[in-house]
Amino acid sequence: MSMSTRDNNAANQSSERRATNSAWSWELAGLVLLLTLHPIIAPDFWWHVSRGRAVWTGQINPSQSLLAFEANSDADWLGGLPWYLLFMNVGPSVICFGLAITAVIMANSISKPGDAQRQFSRTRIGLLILGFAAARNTWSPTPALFDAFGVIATWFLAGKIRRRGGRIVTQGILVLCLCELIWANFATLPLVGLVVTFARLNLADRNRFPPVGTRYQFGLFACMLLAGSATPRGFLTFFDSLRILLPWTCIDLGTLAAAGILPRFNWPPSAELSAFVILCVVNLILLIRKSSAGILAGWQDFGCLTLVILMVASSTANLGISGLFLMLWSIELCHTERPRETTTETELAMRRPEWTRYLSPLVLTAFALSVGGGAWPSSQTRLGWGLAPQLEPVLIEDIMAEFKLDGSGYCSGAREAGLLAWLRPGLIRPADFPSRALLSGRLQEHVRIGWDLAHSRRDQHRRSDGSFGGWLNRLRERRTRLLLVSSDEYSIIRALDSSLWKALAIDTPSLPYGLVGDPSISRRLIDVQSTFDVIESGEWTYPKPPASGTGSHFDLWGWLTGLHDRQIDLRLARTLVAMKRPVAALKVLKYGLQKRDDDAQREFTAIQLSLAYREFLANGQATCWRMCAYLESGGDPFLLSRVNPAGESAFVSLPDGYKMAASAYIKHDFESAKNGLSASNPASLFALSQISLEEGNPQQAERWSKELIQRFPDSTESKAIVNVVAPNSK
Amino acid sequence: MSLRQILNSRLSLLPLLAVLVLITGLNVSKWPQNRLERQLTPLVNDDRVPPTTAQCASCHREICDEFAKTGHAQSLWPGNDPKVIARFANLEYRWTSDGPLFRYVAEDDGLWLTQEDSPLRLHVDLVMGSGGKSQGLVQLITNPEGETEMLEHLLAWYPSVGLAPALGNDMKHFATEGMAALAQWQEHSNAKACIGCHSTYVPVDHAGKIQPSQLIGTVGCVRCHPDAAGHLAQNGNPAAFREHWSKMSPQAVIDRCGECHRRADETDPSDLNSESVRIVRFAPVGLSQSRCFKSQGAGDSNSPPVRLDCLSCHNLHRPLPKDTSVYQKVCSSCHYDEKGVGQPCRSQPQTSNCVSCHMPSIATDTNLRFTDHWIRVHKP
Repeated sequence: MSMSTRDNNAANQSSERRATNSAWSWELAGLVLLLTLHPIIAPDFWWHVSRGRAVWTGQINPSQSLLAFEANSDADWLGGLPWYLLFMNVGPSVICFGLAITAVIMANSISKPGDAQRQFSRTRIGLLILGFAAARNTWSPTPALFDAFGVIATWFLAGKIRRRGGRIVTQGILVLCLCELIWANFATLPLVGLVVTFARLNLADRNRFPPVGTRYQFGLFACMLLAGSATPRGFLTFFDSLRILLPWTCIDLGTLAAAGILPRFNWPPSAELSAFVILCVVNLILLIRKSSAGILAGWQDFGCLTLVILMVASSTANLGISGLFLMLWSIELCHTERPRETTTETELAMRRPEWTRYLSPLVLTAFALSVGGGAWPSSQTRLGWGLAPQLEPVLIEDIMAEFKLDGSGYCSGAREAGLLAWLRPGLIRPADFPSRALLSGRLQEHVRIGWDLAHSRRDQHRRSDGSFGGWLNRLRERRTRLLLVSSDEYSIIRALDSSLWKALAIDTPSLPYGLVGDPSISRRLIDVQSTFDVIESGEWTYPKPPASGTGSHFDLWGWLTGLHDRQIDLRLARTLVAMKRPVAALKVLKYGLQKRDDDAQREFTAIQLSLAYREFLANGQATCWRMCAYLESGGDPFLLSRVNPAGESAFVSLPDGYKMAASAYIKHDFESAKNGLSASNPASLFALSQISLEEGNPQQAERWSKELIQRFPDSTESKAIVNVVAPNSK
Repeated sequence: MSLRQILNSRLSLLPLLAVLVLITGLNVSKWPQNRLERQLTPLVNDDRVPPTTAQCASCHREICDEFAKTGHAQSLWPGNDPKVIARFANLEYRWTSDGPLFRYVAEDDGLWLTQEDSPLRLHVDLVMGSGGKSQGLVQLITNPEGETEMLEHLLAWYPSVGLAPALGNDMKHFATEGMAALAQWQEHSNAKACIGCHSTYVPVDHAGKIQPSQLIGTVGCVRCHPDAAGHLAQNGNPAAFREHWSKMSPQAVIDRCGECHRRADETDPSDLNSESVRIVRFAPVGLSQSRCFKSQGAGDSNSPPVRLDCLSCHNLHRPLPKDTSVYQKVCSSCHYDEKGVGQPCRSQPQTSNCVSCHMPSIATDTNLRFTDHWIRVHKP
């Protein structure tokens, strides 16, 4: 072949490569955007913004000023400051866009092979997508993001030192120490910096770059330790880090599980966890394949992988950075094991069937779409920006503005503590929340109080472990004037319903509770009780949430598809059930039932049984309507037997079309249900009154009820109306 | 194979696999949470069956025989107990002269409460109380969540009058229809608390259902001596007890009794006044408000110079003596002692009955009287 032909071929390949690289670059940007452009959902967002505000006003120990019982300093005292400044100046939407763009830029930088002549690698892109998927929750405006930046920065900085081999590079050490210093003051896991540095200096391709000398490494780590200790916490910074990374080193697993720190791997797994598991498998395969002279990867490599898996299994906070670390490590392993890297993508593609070229882009796109669209099981958010509804403070802000409380507030989680710290109604301060309690050695106390609240253990009693339980005196000792409970804490909400603590709101993501008899909240209490009556048995129907979100939240996926996030309905329905407002919960489930949503139907079935139980408690027998609705929606007949002493005989005289009406009712097709019922028998009259009630038409419900009582006064249904539904209908 | 070779071989994978299996098991299973649940469960609901009084009697025969005659030892009865059936079968009660008739009937499957105007009937699953003051009857039911709840019969038994409205049931406001005409519903937490205070052991499954067949329905030795199991396991070693009543402070003693008999710091502050009849039932509450109790040297001290708490007058191993001279001696030990710790009575001689003036029996309900443990001079 002549020189000019070779030159022409090389030029053609180069331009092909550039075109392919460009396409991959855009694809990567799109996929990363799908994964990282989501509303702010981090539960500790408000906490860190509050800390930032405290630092901005001159406090160097923000947690001490914000919490009621905190005596320790913050190592990561600056962690909230940038987010506070951004939030106040540009708002949450711009923050979301900024984070997503940062992710895209970062992904693009990492994806580019060092040699511009080299082709984009599909494997590398796949690993990047998996890494960013695993770190999806970490990519939020909290110090956790600085941990992620720290991992990436340390990896590349340590990589540069590795490439210089054993030669001491002062500049490299200084930069790495500076990175560690910044990391320690802005985020909670500077200890990971040491781990990443160790991994980068000792693992990966030991043949190409021999490990850095031991003395050098000791010196480097000592400098990094010193640098990382330049925080208000001093040397305890790394102890704090260890507590967060491996919390079981200082507290029992049961407490960690109850606090939600120890992850529980449910089925189906979340997208983040799935991505991490795939990364682990890929990493393991690469380690096994990587061989040099017949020797497998050494114990350090497997040990490091073991440590990463252990970190993820130890705390929910570690998933993101562990995923990023594995991503970087796997990319490095891929890079080092490419003996075939001289073969161009085009030549490779020629060997494989045509359709395989599109396989990985399709799989990756489907994955990113399902995650971004919220279709992945247990997905908490979907494509959009702004503040997620779970963090929206507007409703609770209005309520809290009425109170001027002092003392402390029990907060069930980071979101509640953050909101209370941010809104500051009066002088009241949050008592604690799990991650801060873990650092300061108060986690057991926090969990035990929550446990006692959830199990209605008010008075002092001896526990099996010899300690004494009971929330009444514990909260009194802490001068607790307010409880702020997540609307997802159904056990606590249910238990509080019969206690002296009463809800001061109904539909806020964090529910405030005040003590009966406290004059500061008495007016609000009365208003809320009135609202309960209205939503349960008044002229109220559940308005369909806008598909594109409300307030600062823009749900892009909802806007594109016209479908609102039904998780919002489900959460509210479950909260109302826990508050013993089942009819209101049925009203909220309307849209889910119409769409035959499985979760909505399960809730519907459970509510029917609880309503049947209520009728049993009042009359000794549940009504046919409730029992039919329960059974037709797939309820367990055994459970029904507890509220149906009459047994099969209760169903003997069912009118024609009754079951069909019940089936239509289950699908929230009230018109068809009503059409299938005739007002000639008590069972139908009762059904008509209940449907009217759930439609938000209490006047019509009352008319049906009165007719039932007048015409069939001795029927079970009539007694149900008199004793349960409307005691004033007599 | 050298160590280095082993470490660098496939065997390096083994620790990884072991860790994977372990952490998968921990994170998928509910073991950590179950373990915590067992630790935080009230001792009375712990799944370890405690020693029974009969086991304690193998060494402490005399004490246990005396204890068997106390109210604590007869605090809870199964509904099908022959003594229960003998007492309640065919008992009748009418709320008003023209009101419906309530009647307890004994059938093959136990005792039932019926009302002549109602198709409903309530089973008697448990009877709470020794009968010294009263006995209440309950039916156990299971709610949709699988938890045990209670239907507390509106009637109770009193030694003075037999069947009558139970405590807190006002005859003027009773319902005439439905379940409310027969019983008051007690939700799960109340049911567990009520039964728990009347029992030594209340086994509860994971859902919250009480297993009545395994109930130990007395306030037995273990309720006051929770380390009895260890004591038995160590062949009666007294060092197995971590808690000694004689070494507890007076405040700690009444707080422990107050776990069932109510504590002052868990009572509505508006009730903590001398006019309140509601707190008379709760001896520790009244005693804690007494000047005698408050002024004893450092109430939180483990060894105050003089001592007044529940155990000063009550030996829980024996039935309560009815002879007031027993209690008088306790009063005299301070108020007529040479050390002059307490003031002598200004209106009555030393030999008079202190209790009748300073701790009179008060009617807290139509058919219930309790000794008011708020030791004071009662205004006429």
